[in-house]
Amino acid sequence: MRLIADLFLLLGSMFIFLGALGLIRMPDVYNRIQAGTKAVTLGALGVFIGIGFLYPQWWYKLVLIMGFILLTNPVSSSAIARAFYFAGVRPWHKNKAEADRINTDTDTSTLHKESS
Amino acid sequence: MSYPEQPSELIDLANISFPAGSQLHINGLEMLALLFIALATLMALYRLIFGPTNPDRIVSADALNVIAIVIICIIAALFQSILYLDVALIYGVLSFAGVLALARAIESGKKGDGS
Repeated sequence: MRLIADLFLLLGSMFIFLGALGLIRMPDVYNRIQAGTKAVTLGALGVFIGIGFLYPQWWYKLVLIMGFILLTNPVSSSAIARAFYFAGVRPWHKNKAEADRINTDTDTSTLHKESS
Repeated sequence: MSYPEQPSELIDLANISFPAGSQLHINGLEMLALLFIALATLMALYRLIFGPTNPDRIVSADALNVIAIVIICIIAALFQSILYLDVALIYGVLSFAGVLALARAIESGKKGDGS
């Protein structure tokens, strides 16, 4: 039981570490949102499952926290990405000329006022 | 009047003593997991402090909220107290509300305000 809990804790902390590594290594704000949300959410779930194997009598509160994180974390990251897009933060592209063409075609800061 | 010997309420960082009768000692795998979480916290703090733009700081703060919830739950496991899970849940609710309020504030801001 202790070994299973430790393996889940190690897996979750590995995913949290890789998510934070992507937070540093990714080139763009939107890529950093992906790395900082998906990997860290999966790592948090792994850590909670590990704590649930360590203390099986805490399962109801751990399930509550896991469900809460699983529901609210994508919502918050989506809201952040949407706000950045409408505030005029440009997406990154590997090709510089392609990025300039895309970003001059669409002026994202006016989309929000037209849609609302 | 002399006070009886009681365990202090504060956490002595020099020697953290687990509650009496506990058999929980940290083995190697758990120490490795704690090391990974510490490194992740440091890297997210690096992005929070030295981020080139303000959106990077907001994204790393959003990731640090989840890492903080995980750390509070690990503290609950180390101290063998279920009360810390309530703290983690309330912290999650408040951070979610804060991030949503921040997103609304950016979205209703002026043009080019986010970069």
